Amino acid sequence: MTLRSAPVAATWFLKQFGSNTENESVIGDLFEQYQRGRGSIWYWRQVLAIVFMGLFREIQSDKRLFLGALIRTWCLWGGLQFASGVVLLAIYVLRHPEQIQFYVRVYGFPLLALHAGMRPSHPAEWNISLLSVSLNLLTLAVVGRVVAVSSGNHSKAVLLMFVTTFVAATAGSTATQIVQVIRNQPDALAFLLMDLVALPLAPALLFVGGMRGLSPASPHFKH
Amino acid sequence: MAAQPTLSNFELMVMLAIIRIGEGAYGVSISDEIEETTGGEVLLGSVYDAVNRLEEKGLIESSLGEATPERGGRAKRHFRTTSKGLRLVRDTQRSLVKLWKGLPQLKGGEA
Repeated sequence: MTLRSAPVAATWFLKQFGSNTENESVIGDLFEQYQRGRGSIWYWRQVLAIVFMGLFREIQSDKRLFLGALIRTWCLWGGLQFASGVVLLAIYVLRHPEQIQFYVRVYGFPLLALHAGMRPSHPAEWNISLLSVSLNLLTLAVVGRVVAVSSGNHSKAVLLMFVTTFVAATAGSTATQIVQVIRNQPDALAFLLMDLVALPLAPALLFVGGMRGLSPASPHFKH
Repeated sequence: MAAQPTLSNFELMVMLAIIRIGEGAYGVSISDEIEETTGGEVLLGSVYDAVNRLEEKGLIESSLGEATPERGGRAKRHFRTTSKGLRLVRDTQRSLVKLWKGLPQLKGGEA
């Protein structure tokens, strides 16, 4: 009998974020059903349900702890974004001192400083845009790692919770950009493309940063 | 005296499925049994979530079986009810039957 290989990414996700003790039997159950002709979408749906039911259950066990961890993680991300935005704006101002008035008026200074480095429709700014994207990605990896090393036994759950809220926020931003594109706003298409790239890349980087920071002994959360 | 644990609707279904299957009840067979009986789709995640809660309450117990090739070399986790679990199902049945009796709205199979 030839066995179909189950979706690798889904199985990896379940192994990382499912319960330690039952992982093997759960994956076996899914694999068995997959061999019976179930599709990849079914497999992914089951994996996501298993992982998020486990996450929900763990959050329920100590809501205050998880709310605090989520707020701290968002603050960390915001702080790092702000710092990288200031660096980018400083670089930009050094290169184009004549445009500082425009950015202060349009974007505010320095809260939305990151926009200074993200006007891809202007060819002269592509290198700053690339630096901006790189800093964004680095920020995400750092956040993932900090969450992993600072959240103790709950590190995987906190990481997953942050990734979920981050993806929701990015999806919201993407929807806003789609509206801007429809309204023909300048640069909206470029920002939309960035959001579309960020949507799968951001969680991937958070996981990469997080996985590197987790100690092998960290217990997974139970569902 | 410790309070008797209670069963949610889905937990009761899982308990009944385990009793119906008997020896060798595991995630897939429990989910199949409930799907066949209720006609609705059952997420395996819901089954695992329920069996974990039931095991914590001491109403069922589990053991690992042998690894098989059709499962990618992974073992099944078998479930069986404990005597405490069986007693609770019986008590729940009695309570439900009592509640059921004498309800004119539920007679004749029409809502």
